[in-house]
Amino acid sequence: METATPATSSVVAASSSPAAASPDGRDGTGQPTGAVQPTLRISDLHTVFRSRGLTVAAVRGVDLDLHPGEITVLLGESGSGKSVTAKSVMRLYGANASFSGAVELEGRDLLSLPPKEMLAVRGAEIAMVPQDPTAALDPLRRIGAQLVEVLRQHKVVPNKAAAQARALELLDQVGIPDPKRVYRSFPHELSGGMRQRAVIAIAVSCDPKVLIADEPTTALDVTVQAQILDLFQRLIAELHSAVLLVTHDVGVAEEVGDRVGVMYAGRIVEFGPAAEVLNTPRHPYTRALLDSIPTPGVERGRLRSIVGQPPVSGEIPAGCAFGLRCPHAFARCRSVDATLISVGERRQAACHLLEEEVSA
Amino acid sequence: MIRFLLRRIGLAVPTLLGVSIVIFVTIRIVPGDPVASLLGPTGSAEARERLTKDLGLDAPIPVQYVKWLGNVVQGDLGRSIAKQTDALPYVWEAFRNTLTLSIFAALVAILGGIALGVLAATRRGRVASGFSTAVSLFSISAPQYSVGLILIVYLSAGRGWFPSGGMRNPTGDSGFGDLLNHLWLPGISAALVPLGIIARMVRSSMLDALSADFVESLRARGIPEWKVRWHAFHNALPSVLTIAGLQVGYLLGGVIFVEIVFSWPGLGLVVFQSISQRDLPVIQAGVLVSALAFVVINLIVDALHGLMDPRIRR
Repeated sequence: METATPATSSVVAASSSPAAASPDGRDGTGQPTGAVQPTLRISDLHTVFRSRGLTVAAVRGVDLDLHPGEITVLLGESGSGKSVTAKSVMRLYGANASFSGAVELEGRDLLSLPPKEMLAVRGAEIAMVPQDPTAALDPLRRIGAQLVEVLRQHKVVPNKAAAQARALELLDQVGIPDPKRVYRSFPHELSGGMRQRAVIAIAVSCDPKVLIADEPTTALDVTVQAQILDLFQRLIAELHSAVLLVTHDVGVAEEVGDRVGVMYAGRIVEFGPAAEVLNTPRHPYTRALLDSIPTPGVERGRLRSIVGQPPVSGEIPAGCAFGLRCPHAFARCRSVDATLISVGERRQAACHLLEEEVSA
Repeated sequence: MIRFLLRRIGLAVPTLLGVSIVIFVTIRIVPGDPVASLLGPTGSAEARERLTKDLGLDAPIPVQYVKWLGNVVQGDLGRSIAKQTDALPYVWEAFRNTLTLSIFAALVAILGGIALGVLAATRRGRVASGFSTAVSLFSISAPQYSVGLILIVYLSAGRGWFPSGGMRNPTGDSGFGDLLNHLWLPGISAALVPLGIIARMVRSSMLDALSADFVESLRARGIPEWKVRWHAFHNALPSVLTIAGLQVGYLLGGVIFVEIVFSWPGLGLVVFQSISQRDLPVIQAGVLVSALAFVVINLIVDALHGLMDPRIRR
């Protein structure tokens, strides 16, 4: 994996778009391709759900590299496929989901791993911080027991006493003021922020190489959100994990994201360094998304909402998925799908308008 | 936890008082006269009057109640009108027999119900799940007396594998093996309804628990499926326990049809006979004992509930 990008990665999906030929579809990594091997490489991931004869393509060709110590944000509305992408990486879906493409953890393809080996990867090499810490903990077990269970499961400690000691250490590490008390507490006895810290302690307990955070602060108060995000950044700096952070909150993406991918209808439509993407969006969808956010103290008149509804995953229109809602759409958008192309250094977007700009 | 239990016990007292008033009044409101049933149709008016007075039945109902309650508090539940013995030892022995039957039936119902319910919840859409749903539906719908009779016809009268009734072998040894032999058929008949109800409850609360978010989190932590199911089962238990406690409570009240079909000398049979004989003290004592048993079972359930679910310990 020296210089060349895998053949599968450059073109997101079958398309006749000429400009999509840009060879390094992966160059959004912000580093010269190949300089560092990504911890996790997602290539052309498709996730399809089938139930009762209905087929829903929730993820339609996502390419993404995660690098150690870096936070990559997937930003999008609900239903855009960002959470499904995250959970597909851990293969957390039942028999009604099917995956294609590749998810390589340090070169090992997780999608083709036997279930038993996958079990050993989950929680140990790839860990997840779920959305709602209250729902993520077994309400009938003490926090300590839930920590010890994971530590023992992945055999990161030799015995029970060591597991207990390590659990207390972890609780302390995530900034819990009284680890001994929290160790003995049931989830309902803790505040939301404390619960989220405990959940984070469980997630980082086995020093995961990849950390997936699915809306980790959505269920928390704004003030607690900030603390949790701080903690998150501190831990990642210490552990050097590669992080995939899923959020619909542009503020969170801006605050902690190193790079951001904007998702729409199961695809990444824009990708690049967080500050650049969020300050100078290139894709019409990203612009529309940012325009629909209120800014305190700034008088802008009416907020601009995006006209129409995102397509239902089962019924994605021909051409660009955003075509029907896009104020700049032209004929080509309704017939030909747009693919990610390089739009400047370290940045990519999938839009026919930008193709013309680039080729002009 | 102790305060929680004390409060529950405190609540049990008014419950029992209420029950006793209801029984006392109901029995006296329904038609039928113990004096007439004792003396028979030939009794003279004079004898009737004397007996009514002897039995204390001439006083107004509230007065009778207060007097009865005063005796009950001192452990005297009156004398059986029909048998002319103390009601309490008589009812107590019957209750012990019912207790034996109930414990057996409860074990069958709880173990079987949990097994069927877990099977139905974890093998969804497969043969095992269909089988378990069919069994639980059948056991809820089949009337106890017909099941009892069918069991007698096929397993007792036809083949002689099990005795058709009674609790002990009147001749020969009557040890535990003999008791067990007598227990199978009535025990299974009595267990069927609670078994079906418990199975359905286990299935639905297990499915609830398995669809909870923490289950996905456990899977994301690499916890193997059997352990995940154990977490889910633990979470399903409190609601199962509540239903199971209720069912055991009903069993303790005497499974009247089963006790009649299998002539099991339990509380249900005794109360049933006493009703036809208008033996008021025995009816009162019987119902009071079963109400007490119900209250005690609920106390035990509450205590277990508190042990299992820290959120309700207050």
